[in-house]
Amino acid sequence: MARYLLSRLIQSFFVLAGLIIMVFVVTRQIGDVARLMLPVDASQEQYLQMRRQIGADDPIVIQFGRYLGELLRGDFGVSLWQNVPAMDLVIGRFLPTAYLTLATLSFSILVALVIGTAAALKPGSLGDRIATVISIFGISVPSFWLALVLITVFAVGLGMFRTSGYGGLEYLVLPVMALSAASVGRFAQIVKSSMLDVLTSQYLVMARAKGLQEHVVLIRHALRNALLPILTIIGDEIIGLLNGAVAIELIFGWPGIGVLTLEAIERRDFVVIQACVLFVAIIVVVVNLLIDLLYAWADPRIRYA
Amino acid sequence: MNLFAGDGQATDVDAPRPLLEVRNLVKHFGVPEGRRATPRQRQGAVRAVDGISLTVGRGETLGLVGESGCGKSTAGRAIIQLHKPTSGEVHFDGTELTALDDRQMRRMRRHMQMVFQDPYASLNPKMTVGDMIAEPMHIHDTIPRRARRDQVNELLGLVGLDARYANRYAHEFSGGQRQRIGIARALAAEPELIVCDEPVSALDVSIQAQIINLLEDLQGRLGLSYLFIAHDLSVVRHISNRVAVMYLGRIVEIADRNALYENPKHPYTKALLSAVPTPDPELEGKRERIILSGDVPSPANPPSGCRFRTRCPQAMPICATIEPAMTTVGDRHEVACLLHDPKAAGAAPAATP
Amino acid sequence: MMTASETMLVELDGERRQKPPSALSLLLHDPVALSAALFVIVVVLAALSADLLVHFDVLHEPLRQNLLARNKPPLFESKLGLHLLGTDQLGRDLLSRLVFGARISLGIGVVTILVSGAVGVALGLVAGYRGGRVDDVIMRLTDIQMGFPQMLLALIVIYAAGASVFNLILVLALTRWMVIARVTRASCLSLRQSLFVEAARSLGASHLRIVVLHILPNLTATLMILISLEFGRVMLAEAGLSFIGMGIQPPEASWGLMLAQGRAYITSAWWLVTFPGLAIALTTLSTNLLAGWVRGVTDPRYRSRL
Repeated sequence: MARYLLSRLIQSFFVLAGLIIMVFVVTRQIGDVARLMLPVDASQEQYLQMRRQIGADDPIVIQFGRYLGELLRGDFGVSLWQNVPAMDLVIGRFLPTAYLTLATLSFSILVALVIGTAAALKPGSLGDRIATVISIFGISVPSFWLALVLITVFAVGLGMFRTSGYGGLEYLVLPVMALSAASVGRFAQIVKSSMLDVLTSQYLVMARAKGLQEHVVLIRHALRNALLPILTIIGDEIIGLLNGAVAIELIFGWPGIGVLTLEAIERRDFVVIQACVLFVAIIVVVVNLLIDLLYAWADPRIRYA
Repeated sequence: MNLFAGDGQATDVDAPRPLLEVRNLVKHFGVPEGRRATPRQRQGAVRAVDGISLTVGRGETLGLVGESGCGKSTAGRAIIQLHKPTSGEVHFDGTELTALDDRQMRRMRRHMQMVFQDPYASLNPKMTVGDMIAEPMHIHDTIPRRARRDQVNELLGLVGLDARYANRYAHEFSGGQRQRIGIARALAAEPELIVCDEPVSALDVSIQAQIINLLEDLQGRLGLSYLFIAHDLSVVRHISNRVAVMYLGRIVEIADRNALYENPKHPYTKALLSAVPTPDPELEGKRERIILSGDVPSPANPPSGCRFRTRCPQAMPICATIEPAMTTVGDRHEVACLLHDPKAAGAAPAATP
Repeated sequence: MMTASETMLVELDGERRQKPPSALSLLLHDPVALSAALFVIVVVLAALSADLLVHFDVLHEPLRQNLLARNKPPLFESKLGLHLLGTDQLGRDLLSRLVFGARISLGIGVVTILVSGAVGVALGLVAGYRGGRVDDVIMRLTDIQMGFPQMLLALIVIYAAGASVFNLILVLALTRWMVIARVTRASCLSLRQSLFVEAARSLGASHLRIVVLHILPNLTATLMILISLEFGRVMLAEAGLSFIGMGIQPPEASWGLMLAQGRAYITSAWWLVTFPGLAIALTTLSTNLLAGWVRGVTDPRYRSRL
C-alpha cells in the first residue's frame, strides 16, 4: 500500500509540474505577458515599465524560477481589475462551482443507479431501452442547449424554479439537470454492465441459494460491486463537469469559477485567469489522487498488485 | 572466421561446412537485454533454451522434437533471430547472425524463412494473398517490379493453389490452403533455409499429409534445408534426415533418423518413442509403453544435474550432481546421458556412498 | 494440437466468413443507423452546396438583413419569400444561417479530427510499437492532459493567442488527441504480438513497413468508431467555446454562436435556440449512433449480444 501511495504521489507531482510548465509556456510563448497584463489602451511607456516590473526581459529560465517561487508561496499575484489577491477571488468563486459539481455528481450517480439497475434486472425491457436512449442522448446533447430548453419549459412555461442566481434547491434544480445529462448516461452504462456481471456471477447464485431475500441480495452484494467501477470514471466525470460548468454558470448567473474566468478574460485580467486555471488544475489533481487511493482501499486487488 | 572456436564439442572436421551451425545457443526470458542484468534477475529468468548446439546441412532436414514447452519453438525463433538470443553463436553460411545489427539482419532474412504453426494468425487479414506473397520481393527487391505478378502466380502454382486466388483474403481459405499460402510466402524470398514451426499440427490429419508431401516435393525441387520443429514423432520421422530431441531447453539426443528411431539411447527418447503407435498390429500388441511419471519441471527452476532425472525411470543418484555432456555413441549419434558416458560411469560409484 | 472437430469448426468459420454481408446491406437493415447516416449525408451535402443553393434561390442570402422581419416565427413569409425556420434578431433567414453555420461547425470538426487523429494515431503507434521509455513518456503526457479540464486550458490559449478559426482548431486538436493516442497504443500493443507481425519481421520487413502496412490497416475499424465518437465531442466543444464567446466570432455563424445569440430572445423567439441546438444535438447523435453501429458490425462478440 505504501508503495502504491508513493508511486501515485510521484505521478501526481509530475502531472502538476507538467501543468504548471504548460500554463507557463502557453502564456509566455503565445502572448506577451506585459501586454496581456495591461489595458488595451496602455501607452508604450506603461508597457515598458510593466516589462521591467515583471522582469519580462530576463532569461526564460529565471522568469520560470521566479514564477515557480511565487506559486510555492501561494502567491498567485494581485488582480489587475479589483486590486485584491487573485487567490482570494478564486477561492471565493470556487466554492459555488464545487457546490454545483458535487450536487450534479451525486444526483447523476443516484439516477444512474436506479436506471442502470432496472436495465440490468430485465435486459431488453422498457427500463433497459430507456437507459440506452438516455445514455446516447445524454452524450449527444450539448448541456448548454439543454439548459436553455429547461429554462423555456420549466421557468418560462411553467413558472417553476429560479433561472438566475446562487442559493438553495430552487436555484439548483435546473443547472444540475442540465449538467447531469451526460454523466447520467455514462454512469448508467457502467452500472448496467457491472450489475449484469454481478447478477450472473457464482457468488450471487450462492447468496440466493442461501435463501437471502432478493432485495437483500441486490443491496448487499450486487450494489456494492457496481459502485466500484463508478469510482474509476468519477475523476474523468468531474473534469467533464468542470468543462461544462463554464457555460452552465454563465446561463444561470451562477457565481462560480467558470464565470470568474470569463469575466477576467473580458476585463483582460491576466493574473486572475492564470490563477483560475492553476487553482482548478491543482484541485483536479488532488481529487484524482484521492479517488485513486479510495479505489485502492476499496479494491484489495489494486492494493497488492 | 574461426569455425572451430568455442567449447571443444565434437565436430566432424572432414564434413563439408553445414548451412547452419548453432553453438551453445541460450535464450532466457525475463532478463533485461544487454549486460545490465543483476544476478537475481538471472536467477528468476525462464531458461527456455539453455545451450543447444546443432547443425543443418544443405538440402538436409533436421527434425527438432520434444513435448510442448520444451523450448523448441523458442529455439527456432532464436536461431533466425526473431528472438534475440541471450548468448551463443549462429553461423549461417559463414555469417555470424548474432553479431549483425538490425539492418544487416533484415537483409539476411531472405535467406532464411519461417512457416508458422497457426496459418490463420500468421497471415495479415487485411492483405490479399497476392500482396502477401509479393511482400518479400518488395522488401528485398529480388524481382523486377513488372515480373512480380507472374512470380506470385508461379508460386501459387508451385504450392498447388489456383493463380486466381491472388486477389482473395486469407479468411476465405481453409486451414490447409492457408498453410500453402504461408509456404508460398516463405518461398517468395528464395531462401536456403526454412524453419517450419509445427507447420501441420494445427491441421486436420488428412491435410497434414498433403502439406508434408508438398514440403518434401519443394525440398527436392529447390534444394531447401529444413529445420522441422514438431511434437509429432511420426511426422518428424517421415520428413527428417536427422532428428534432435529436446527436453527442458536442452538437446538430449541427436542422431540420424533411423538410428534414433530404431536404436534410441536416451531414456527420454525411448519414452517418447514408446508412445508412438505402430501400424503393425502384432508389433503394436507387444509394444512396451514407458509411462513417464510427474510433470515437466518449470524452465524457470530446472532440476540440478540431468534435467530429466526427476522423471527418468533409470535415474541414478549421480544424475543429481553431474550435468551430462553430449557423448558420441555411434556414427553421428550423440546423447547426453550418464548411462552412456564412459567418464561418468567411472565416476558413478565414487559419487554413491 | 487441435482436434479434428476443432479444425472443422475453424474450416466452417472460414466458410461462413466467405460471404460477409456488405456494409450497405447491413446498414439498410438497421433503421436507426440508416436514418443517422442519411441525416449526416443531408447535412454534409447541404453544407457543401450552400453557395449553389443560394445561387439558385433555394436558400436566402445568409447575411442579408431585413429589419422589418426581425424574429419572425417559422413559415413566415416576408417580401423576400418564405422563411421555413423563421428569421433571427436581424431578420436574417434562420435556415440559411444554419446551413452556412454547418460549414463552419462541420468544417472545424473535420479539420480538428484530421489533426488530432493524425497526431494521436502517430503517437499511439510509436508508443505501442516501440514500448519502453518512449511509451512511458507519451503515456505520461496523455495522463497530464487528461487530468485537466480542457475548457480552461482552451480559454487561456485563446485568450493569449486570440480568437480565430485557426486557433480554435489548434486548441481543440491539442485537447483531443489523447484518447485517440491511448486507444491506438492499446490496439497496436496487442497487434505487435500477433503472429502475422512476427511473420512480417521474419520476411525482413522494416519497422516502418510493419507499422504502416501490417498494423495500421488492422486498426481501421477501431479508429473509425473512435473518430466518429470524437467528432461528436469536438463538435460539442466547438459549440461550447463559441457559445461562451471564445470561439467563432460574428458575423460568421457557427451553431454554437447562433445559440448564444438567440439566448437573449429565449422568451419571445423559441426557434432561435431550438433549431441550432437541434442541429448540434442531431449531428452529434448521428455520429454517435453510427459509431455504435460500426462497433456492432465489426465486433462479432458485440453482434451476437444484440
